[in-house]
Amino acid sequence: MGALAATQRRTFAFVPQASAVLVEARSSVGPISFGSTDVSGHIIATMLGTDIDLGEPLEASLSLPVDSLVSGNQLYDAEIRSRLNSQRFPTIVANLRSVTAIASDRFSVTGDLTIHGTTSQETGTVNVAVTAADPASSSRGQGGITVVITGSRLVDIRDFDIELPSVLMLQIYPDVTVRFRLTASSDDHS
Amino acid sequence: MEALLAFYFGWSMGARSGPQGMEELNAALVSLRDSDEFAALLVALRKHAAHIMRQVAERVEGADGTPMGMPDVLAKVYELIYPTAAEPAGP
Repeated sequence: MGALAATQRRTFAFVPQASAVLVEARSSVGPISFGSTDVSGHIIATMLGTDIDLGEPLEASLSLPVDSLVSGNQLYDAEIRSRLNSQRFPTIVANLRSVTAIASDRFSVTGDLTIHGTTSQETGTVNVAVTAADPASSSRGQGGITVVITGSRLVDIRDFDIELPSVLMLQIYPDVTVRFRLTASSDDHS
Repeated sequence: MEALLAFYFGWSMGARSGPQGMEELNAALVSLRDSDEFAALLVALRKHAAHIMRQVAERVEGADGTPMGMPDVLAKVYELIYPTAAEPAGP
């Protein structure tokens, strides 16, 4: 967008009910999924209209309570909480390290992912869609901006020092796919 | 019920009357197996077993078969992650 657009440093907050994380795993009795919409965190970015100015510092942090991940089966939920030791490590945290543009709406992202008290550096590709609300519809009359980030990442849970979960005859395999859709919005001009 | 009483009577007599009594006992058993009362008893037992299994399933999964509303969360997650799959089919 435009070179003529004014730059604005903005803070975006993740919108929990519009954001979701889905962990898709394979088990000895078929696929099993854990999901949560209880995402919190923020992005601080410099915007050029609806474009993110990657020449300026970009910060992002995300957290997800372990206990918010549910499968629809209480036995599986209890097992995953036990294996992730949710009492001692109640939160999954991701912190952004760097971003490289691949296309106007596609970015290579590197960050630190902390699960079960163990941090692993992960790199993946995300799609980013930025939309600007009509200023007239904003509560402060300034026009909000919404960022939607989508992507997926194959993760080996053994990298996080997690014992493979098992319930009765059900054994979960270590490679899981983490899919996410993160919606963050900003109303302010800071 | 009459068939059940007949079976008990036949079993009692057969046990006391030797081989010939046992043939009568077998005949009584076959008669019992083919009776309407026995079929009705089996149906009642199956219904009772099904009811107990339903009760156990409800206790394991939750009262309405949806554990603590968790599927609502998962449904929301799937709707957000796979938005096109959640869209209604066109006319």
